[in-house]
Amino acid sequence: MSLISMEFLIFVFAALAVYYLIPGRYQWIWLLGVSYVYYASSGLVYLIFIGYTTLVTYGAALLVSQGEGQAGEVKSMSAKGRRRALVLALLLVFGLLAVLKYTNFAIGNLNLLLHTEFRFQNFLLPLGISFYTFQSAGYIMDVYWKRCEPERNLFRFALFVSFFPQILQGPIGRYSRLARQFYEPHRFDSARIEKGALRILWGFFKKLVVAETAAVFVAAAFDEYQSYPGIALFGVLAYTAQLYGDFSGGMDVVIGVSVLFGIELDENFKRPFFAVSITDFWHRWHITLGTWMKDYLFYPLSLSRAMGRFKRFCKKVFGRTYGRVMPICVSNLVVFFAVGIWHGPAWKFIVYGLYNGLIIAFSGLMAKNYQKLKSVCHVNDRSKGWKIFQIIRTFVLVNISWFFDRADTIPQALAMMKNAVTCFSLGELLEVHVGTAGTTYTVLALLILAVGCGVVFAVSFVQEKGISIQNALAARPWMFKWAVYLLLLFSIPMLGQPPDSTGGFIYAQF
Amino acid sequence: MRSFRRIVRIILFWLLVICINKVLLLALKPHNFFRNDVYHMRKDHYEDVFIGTSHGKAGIRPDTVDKVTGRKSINLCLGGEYPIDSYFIIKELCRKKSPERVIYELDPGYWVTEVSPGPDYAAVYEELPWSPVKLEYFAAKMMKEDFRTALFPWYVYRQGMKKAPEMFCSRFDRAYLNHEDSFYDSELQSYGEGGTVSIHRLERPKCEEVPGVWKEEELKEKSVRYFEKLVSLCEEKGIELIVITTPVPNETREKYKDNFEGADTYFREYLEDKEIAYYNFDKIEIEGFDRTVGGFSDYEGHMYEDQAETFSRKLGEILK
Repeated sequence: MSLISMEFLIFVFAALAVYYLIPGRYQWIWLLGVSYVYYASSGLVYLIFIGYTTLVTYGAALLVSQGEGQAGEVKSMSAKGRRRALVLALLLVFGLLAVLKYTNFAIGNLNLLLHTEFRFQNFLLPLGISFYTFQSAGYIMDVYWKRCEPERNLFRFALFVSFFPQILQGPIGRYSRLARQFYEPHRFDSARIEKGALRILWGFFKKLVVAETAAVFVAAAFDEYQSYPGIALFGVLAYTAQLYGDFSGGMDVVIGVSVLFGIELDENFKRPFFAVSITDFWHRWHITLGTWMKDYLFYPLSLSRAMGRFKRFCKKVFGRTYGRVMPICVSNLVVFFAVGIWHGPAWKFIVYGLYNGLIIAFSGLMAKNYQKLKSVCHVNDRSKGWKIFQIIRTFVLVNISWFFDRADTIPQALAMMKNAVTCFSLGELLEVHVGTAGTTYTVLALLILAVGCGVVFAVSFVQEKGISIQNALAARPWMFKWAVYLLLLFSIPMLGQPPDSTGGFIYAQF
Repeated sequence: MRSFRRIVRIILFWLLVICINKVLLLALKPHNFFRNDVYHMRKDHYEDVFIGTSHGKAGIRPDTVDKVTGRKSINLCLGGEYPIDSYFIIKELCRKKSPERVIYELDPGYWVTEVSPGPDYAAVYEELPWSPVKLEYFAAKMMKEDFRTALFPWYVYRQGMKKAPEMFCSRFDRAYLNHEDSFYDSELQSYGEGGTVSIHRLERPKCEEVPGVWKEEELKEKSVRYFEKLVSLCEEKGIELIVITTPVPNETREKYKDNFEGADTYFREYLEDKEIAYYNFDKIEIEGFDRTVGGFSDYEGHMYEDQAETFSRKLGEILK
């Protein structure tokens, strides 16, 4: 059930109406029911996979929490036993994801490397599996590290894994943040409904006006990159607009729908194109994946015994400063390798991840040298000019990474990068046909894209200054507020791309 | 008092949304003769009903067919009419009327392509009167689509923005309001008796594009499903179902020989299995019928009015 389909809106409306009509103590049960109906609407067989993840995670969490039991009440497990249970649970949870998502990638590489002819498998890839696997795995680790109590009611726990707005493309939630919200009663609040509805509208604007309009030019620039070499640079910029509009727009819809039910999900975006470094970018882009990686991979890895030994070794070889930074750099590389492979089973995604990891690692290693250079050049790193330079530099670096993300292969990405700096012919843009009306319509689409990006940038700029758009609107006379709502509402069908080009959400494929 | 004001404002807001939507729909939606088709369909009784695509609309002249068969028929074919639309047209018709025969004009191209939300997308849906059938139609066709096609029905007609004021004014034209067939006449074609569209012979370049040629591997399950629903509906209501395919120019048939032959083989076997009579007019001799592109307004196979007359006479003989 696509988030932009009519059936989704009707589904949400019906679910919401019943939600606020039934007694509060039954609301979570209703949410669980509708979440499963929503997930089953994509195919009943998918329920097997989510059921498996739910049962394994639920059981494993109870097992690894046994050490906490009162003496005589529950037989305590040794620390080693708990650790083994954790490892086994993670293997079972990630194993399913690995088998379904990465088997063919492994077979392809094996065949290439060993000249074997293993047959590719036709596995079903359940929708949203990457998201609910990571969410569930995070929960087991939280219980293991005693960051949260295990949920003893299987059905309550099942809601945490399957909550329908977030199941397809996140955000990757934390049990400690969501549990209370899921299970406490919620009363109807018109202000909350208005807040949620506005957020949904804004999400649709980003997805249908910005992302879908950009998608036409992105498709031409990337899918036919040999026919349109002169717009490689424009293509990657348009991809920035498409990816941001698509993913953050989808998040706005997801978060807005959750708000309607009284549940505040974690934010996944914080104006990423105002980032001053790649590290900062990853604190603002797909935040919940970044924090997941930080909490469950980066820290455990950089604080591990092996890394401790490596740190001592580095200090001996490279000296105190670099020796201290090196293990962090290695951990970052591992984290971004995982981020890359999370995006998909392809080398281009691994390169995409490692590219980000390398920049962060290199920045870490060179931090002291940069500081020296800045003082030599008398750079005031608190000035506006420096900040703007940092923002532009980060934007350029991020755009380079998109070539790997969007191109089909690494050679294509490299060829397009070359085209972006050696071949520049904006006239080719007018050869891209939008709709059926030809070139005239292409100019209009470019204009719409510019206006759409302008609106999104203006809103981000205001938010970056710490001003809440919703609060600012609420302070205005109601006529003004409703006029803005009306404008936003009608801009979506008026300016958005025709539906035949409207696909699903990019991140729902992960 | 405060919450009362709030409720009034919300109601006002949604009323305004409905009004803007309505005005935009009136201003952007192009005129479609299917409006009159539905008007005639509801007003009169017809023994034979033709459903299908634009090929059928241009080629089948009910008045000519009726002269041969001695029955009364209506042409409810429409450009962009997929099996799902045909099924709901007949279902809606059967709510109030009892036709004896349904003649389905089959264009294989519509069985291998998806319904895409373009200007023809909601033409049938919008003209059908409110009924449980329309609700079922909505659930079957619009639910899975982009919400804009349902909540902002003018959305699929946005390309008509330039002519919006003119279009809006024409909605109040007496001929339009009175369902006069002549309202739909243009220099290129005229709409008339029994729902036929007569394409005039004019000196102008012919479109060479032939969209959606048959490929069995691209057969859409949805098209098959709704055709089978149509078959069941006809059986249930005691309606005889006949399937025909209108001729296409020789030049097109030659260019896509394998596709046309493949379609003929597939549908002949498929319909024989269902014991439904099938007449492919590419395989039937029609006296005096020009099979070259000279007899058609385009390469896709939309007949000129004089050709339609010849074809309809032959069709009448077969249906008799």
